[in-house]
Amino acid sequence: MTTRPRKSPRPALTDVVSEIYEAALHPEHWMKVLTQVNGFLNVRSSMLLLADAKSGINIAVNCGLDPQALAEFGAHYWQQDPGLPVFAREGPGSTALTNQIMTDSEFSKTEFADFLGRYDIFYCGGASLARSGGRDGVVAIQRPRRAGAFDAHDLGKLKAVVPHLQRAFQISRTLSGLATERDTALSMLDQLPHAVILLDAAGRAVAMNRSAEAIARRNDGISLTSAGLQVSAPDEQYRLRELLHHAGKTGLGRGTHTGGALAVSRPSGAQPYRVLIVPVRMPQPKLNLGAPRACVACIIAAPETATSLQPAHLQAWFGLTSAEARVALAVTEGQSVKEIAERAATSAETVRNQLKTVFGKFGVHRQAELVRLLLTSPTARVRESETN
Amino acid sequence: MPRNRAAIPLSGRSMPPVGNYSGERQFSDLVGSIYDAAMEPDGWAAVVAKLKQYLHCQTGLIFLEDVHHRKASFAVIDQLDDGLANQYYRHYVFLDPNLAAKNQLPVGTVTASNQVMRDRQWENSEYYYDFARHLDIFYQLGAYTHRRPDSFGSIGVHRPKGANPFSTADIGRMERIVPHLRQAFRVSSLLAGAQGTLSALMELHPHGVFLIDAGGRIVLANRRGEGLLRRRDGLDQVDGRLSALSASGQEALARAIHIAVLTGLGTGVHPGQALTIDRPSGASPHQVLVTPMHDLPTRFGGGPSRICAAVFVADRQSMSGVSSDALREWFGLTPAEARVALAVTDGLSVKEIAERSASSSETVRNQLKTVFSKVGVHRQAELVRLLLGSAISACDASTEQDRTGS
Repeated sequence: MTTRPRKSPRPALTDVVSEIYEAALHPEHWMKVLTQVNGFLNVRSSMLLLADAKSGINIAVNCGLDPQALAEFGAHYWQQDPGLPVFAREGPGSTALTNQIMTDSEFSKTEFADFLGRYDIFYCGGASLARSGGRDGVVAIQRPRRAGAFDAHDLGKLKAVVPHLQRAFQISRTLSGLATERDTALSMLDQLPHAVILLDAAGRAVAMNRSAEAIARRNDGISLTSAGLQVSAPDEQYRLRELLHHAGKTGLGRGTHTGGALAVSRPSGAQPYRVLIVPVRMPQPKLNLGAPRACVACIIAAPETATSLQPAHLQAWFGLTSAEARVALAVTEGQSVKEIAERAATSAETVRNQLKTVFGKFGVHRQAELVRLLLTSPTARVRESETN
Repeated sequence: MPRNRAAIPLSGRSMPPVGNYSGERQFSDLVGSIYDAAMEPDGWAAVVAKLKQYLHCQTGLIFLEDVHHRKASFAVIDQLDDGLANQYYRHYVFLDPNLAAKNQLPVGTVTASNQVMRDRQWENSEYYYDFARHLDIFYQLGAYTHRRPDSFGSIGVHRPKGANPFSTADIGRMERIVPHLRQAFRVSSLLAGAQGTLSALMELHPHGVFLIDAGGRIVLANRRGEGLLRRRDGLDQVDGRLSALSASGQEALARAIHIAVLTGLGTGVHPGQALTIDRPSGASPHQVLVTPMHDLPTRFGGGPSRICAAVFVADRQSMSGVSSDALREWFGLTPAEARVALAVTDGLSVKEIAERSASSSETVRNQLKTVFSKVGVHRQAELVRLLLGSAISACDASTEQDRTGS
């Protein structure tokens, strides 16, 4: 919507803004944003960077800059950029232009201008977009001397773009923060003694733990495709569809079905998988246009998915000695005191004493209690047996 | 600061006419508020208010319909009677000539009622006479933001009788806004989806789980965790922090969380710590595990996780909370078999189960054998593992439905 006469059509604010919010969801779009920013602000090059007075800068995206200039700026000259201290001082939303900070003749005497001159850059500027952990997210713009100094019009345009960049940046951060947190929550499910798959109403996987990934990879009766969770036997598939349908409805708040179990036979002839399909009721978001909604959990107990607790963790967390940790694990795996003693080439009496100490450390009185505690303890880790 | 350069910004003499630019300010501000609302739904009211201003309208609305339930799943209705607007979506929606036109066009296409039919025709329509008239709506300008099998969304602004009809320029302005509304809805639903997945994953954990941020505060707890806090039997929440009721427990817990957070932040190397927290009720103490959670390095535009540590609380009560009904339904167990299965999961021996149910050990052993074969397992440990999974649904069933926060 600019009315200033231009030789080539320049992007209007509308175009830049559309591109900016596209980048909020698709980070690969930041490059396009910079292309538009260059046109809109009439600059030859621009970059997005993270600046930290202590550890230096990290240039994330750049458009129109000489690679050598980038390298030198990143290695050394960023420290002389007069804009960065302004951003550090004034925080997100602040803008700075070199020709606002000093006169052309003053600036041209600086080492920084020398460096820029080698790459035909003279006027620089930018804005601070965000700050977290002592780092400033910055957009920086550059143009040659012949393009003229930045004027009020340019500054107005920069200030028009900055709030959108800030907001898009925040959206992007929030979304990827949630993705990171989802990964954290998933890694906690890796500890469970069974495979877990979180599904949407159509039976498509939204997330799964590592045991589930291994089962899906093995493709022995259970598979995960773009069409959702599948089992190979037709009658089992029918039952699975039915369970998913009912549990899905309950999960979405439209039913009262409690879920159900089914055995899934395996082409390899191995013991069938025991599968539970249960609804997961979650608050309904008001606005959801097709983002996957988890509403069903599929829990798979595979006979060969032996619980293998890690002795190191038992030692670290519960203060067991390595021998005690071994005895505790052997009991969990169903070995008798005699068997444990034989394998460890020691007496049953020794094992019994070790077990007693273990009981004391866990505050339990019986083997069954210990088994249950360890199986239900957050320390329980699953490792696929290496037999397949 | 500028000293001797006339061309330096902000010196009024050299300022170009600002007019060519200020026209964009309103647009820019409106678009900004749309994405603010995408992040914080309370902001939608401001969006409608600004949109009305932008297009010189008297009333306006954003409406999302839940097709399954035939009701509004979300609505911002500005200066309109809510009840009437709901009536619209029950009944008059089928008579709306503007909507009929929109239905023929791709989603996102902006239409103005005065384009669709002449004023006279409009005035004589059942839709206007029975409905729009009462809301002082004469001209309608709007678009579908989405049309899906399960929901559709629309945006509309209106002018009263006697106002100017919508011009091509007005339509053009709306056309600049609609793509941003659609994009903002996408942002909003992605956020909701991601938050939903995160919460659901938390529920799959058979323990009370508390995720802790850099400041030692609880960021997120699953329902088991919330239940533990509600019962205040050993654990409590003080200033957003997980705390133990007993002084000694509190000291140990606070220290363990502190160390785990430091490790999570990358300034410690502790693998975590297990501890027990006494319960005033006299029930067996809570088994608590505090572990660090490592953050990923921050990229540009990459969001840091808020989570630095996790606290797991093995709550025996909820572990054995698998409902006997569920077991009977899922595996076809008899009530007695379901009781035995649950008792085994609770760690009781065959002899103890027999004593409690006043039957012989032989009977219990036989029942257990049947349970194994019905459930399809061979060992006690396997049974416990499977039933642990089913504890998920047990937790769900015991949840109050009134809570909606995440």
